Amino acid sequence: MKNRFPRIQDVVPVYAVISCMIYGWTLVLFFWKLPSWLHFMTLSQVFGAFSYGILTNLLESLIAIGGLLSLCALLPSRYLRDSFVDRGSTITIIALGSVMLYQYQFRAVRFDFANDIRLWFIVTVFAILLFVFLVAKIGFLKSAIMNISDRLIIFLYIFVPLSVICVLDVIIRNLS
Amino acid sequence: MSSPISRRELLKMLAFFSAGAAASWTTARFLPASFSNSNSRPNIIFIVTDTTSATNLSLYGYPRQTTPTLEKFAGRATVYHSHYSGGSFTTAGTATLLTGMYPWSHRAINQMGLVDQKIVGENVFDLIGDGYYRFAFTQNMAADVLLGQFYRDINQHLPTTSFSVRPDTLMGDRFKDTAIALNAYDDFLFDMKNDPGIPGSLLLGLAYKAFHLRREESYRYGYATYPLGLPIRKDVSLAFLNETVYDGLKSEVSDLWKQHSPFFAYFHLWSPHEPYAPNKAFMNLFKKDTFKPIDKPVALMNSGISTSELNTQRLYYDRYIANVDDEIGKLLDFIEQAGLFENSYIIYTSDHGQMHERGIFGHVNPYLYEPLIHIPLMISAPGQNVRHDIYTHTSSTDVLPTLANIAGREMPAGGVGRILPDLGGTEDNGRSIFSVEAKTNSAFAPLTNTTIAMIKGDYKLIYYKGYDGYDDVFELYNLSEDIEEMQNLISKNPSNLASLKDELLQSLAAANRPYEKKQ
Repeated sequence: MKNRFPRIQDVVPVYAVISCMIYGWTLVLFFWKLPSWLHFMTLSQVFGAFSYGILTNLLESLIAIGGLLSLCALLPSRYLRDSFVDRGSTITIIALGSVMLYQYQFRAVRFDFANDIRLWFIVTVFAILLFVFLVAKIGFLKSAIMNISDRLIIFLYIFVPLSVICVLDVIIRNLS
Repeated sequence: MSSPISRRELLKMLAFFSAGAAASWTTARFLPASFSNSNSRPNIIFIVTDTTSATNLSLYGYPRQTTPTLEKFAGRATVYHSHYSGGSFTTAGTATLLTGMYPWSHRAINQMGLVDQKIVGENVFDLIGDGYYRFAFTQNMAADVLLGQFYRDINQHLPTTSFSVRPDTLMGDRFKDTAIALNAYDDFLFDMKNDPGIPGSLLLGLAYKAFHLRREESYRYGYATYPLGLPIRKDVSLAFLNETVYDGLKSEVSDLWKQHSPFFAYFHLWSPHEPYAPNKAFMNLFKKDTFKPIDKPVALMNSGISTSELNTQRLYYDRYIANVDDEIGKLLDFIEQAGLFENSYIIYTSDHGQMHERGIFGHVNPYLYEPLIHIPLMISAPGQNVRHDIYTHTSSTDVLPTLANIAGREMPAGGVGRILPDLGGTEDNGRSIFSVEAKTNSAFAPLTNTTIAMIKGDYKLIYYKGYDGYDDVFELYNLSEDIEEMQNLISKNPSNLASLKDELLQSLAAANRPYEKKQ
């Protein structure tokens, strides 16, 4: 079973890409909200809201990497495990990028939402297949993806300790 | 060279001190409000029904018999006939009610906005004081975040999802740290509002939205007693049955009466807010009546809705009000049977009104016509059994000083509200009342995209500022002769117009001054 999963040193760069996109999204929106919150909330309350955000990001990033690893275990090794860094990162960038686009584009609550998601999901799957194919065929793209994911590891040195602090903050806030 | 403290030890010390600081700060911030029992004071039951326009209540002369119960209640209450909300939507209107300040002072002027941090301590719960057990419940998320700001002064704050069909709707309610968790999840991470409506959580925010909208569709319909679907707040998928909510209130009142007297209970109910969902028993009301709403000119910034559609919506609204009136009646019957009328103030009001005219539906618009800001107010004093009618203009800023007076507390310094006539205050016909709309204006900047209404004597002056194609425009109506606001008197240039304009503009300039300095 262990052989169905990629090596840890291959998982880390992909997790870095996932984290940067998930934490980055929340941080951008947090800083968009921050001036307003500073006006209406105390610093401790703002930090509390931030902690819930980071806790949620931690869960999301673990779910995302878990999903990729599950896919890795299900598929024959040559499809994903053997090229986990480049293909995993490509899948992540296209899938999460697509979610970002969707969130931004269709922000209003509408009741045909479920149908929108279905269509968007199908388009995203095709886009992933196309880009995975292109990355495999174009050397420059492959090395670019691998370099980017490798360099993004530095952000894990921020996100991981930050997540630990925020998880502790949420626990303390909910103890009493 | 060896350091006296290794890096590992330094990190341990930092972690230890951080945890200690976090624990002490958390403990200090989340202490519940204290309560010292004193049975000599009257209880206060404060009922707010959202989106209830006085112009649609038969209590105030509306041709359709929408409020027979409230009319019966009026027989033992003081009825304020010319009562105005400080704002035209929940955030602004409720914040005015709870702080006694106009929106240009409390700054909760945007949808789902909060009051300025500097005045958070100046709220009705703080003012009532710890001689009362202070209880709060609202079904409206926009009001609930305000209550969340005042958590230090509230002894018991029920989750906004209480008594709903799916009480697990809101994420924030799942945490003990509800006030902050609601802000974090339901206003940020899992934000499902239309504007801006971008969840702060990339994956789970989307999943949450999809899951809730799908689930809502599955449970909202299929109730035989609610042919139009269950009453619901769409942006948080909060569906409920009015009868269940009001039964819940009875139970809460009963518990408060038995265990926490004297108490101050603030109930803010969603109905009759749209989407209108009257119970089946009210669906045939007014079906064959001859009432025809006055056809008013279509406003410039209209919603593009035809008059016939507006009249249909008005019909549903009127039925829904009658439904809510019936539920309030059951609650008042319960209060009477419990003997609470003898030692309690019962206050009934709304946060803002609703529009079904001039091509406009709802209350999210730049206007401040009568249907939007003329709201009901009735107060029954302990043991009162005769009706009093007050016709002088009153404002929702007056409720807070009146409650302070009832509770035997000092009036807040610098407040604009006055003690209501018949409850310790006097009538003042020369007074100016304001209502402020500035949803799209920044809360931290001077009001430059705003509508201000000033009601003084017989006149109502409305000022529009910063709208495309409608900037720096005044409208003037004589309410004593033209309550429907059909005749704009600006072109007739009445003698008092200049002084009314001066007063309004000076008041706006004074409200803007602190924000201009910051710029």
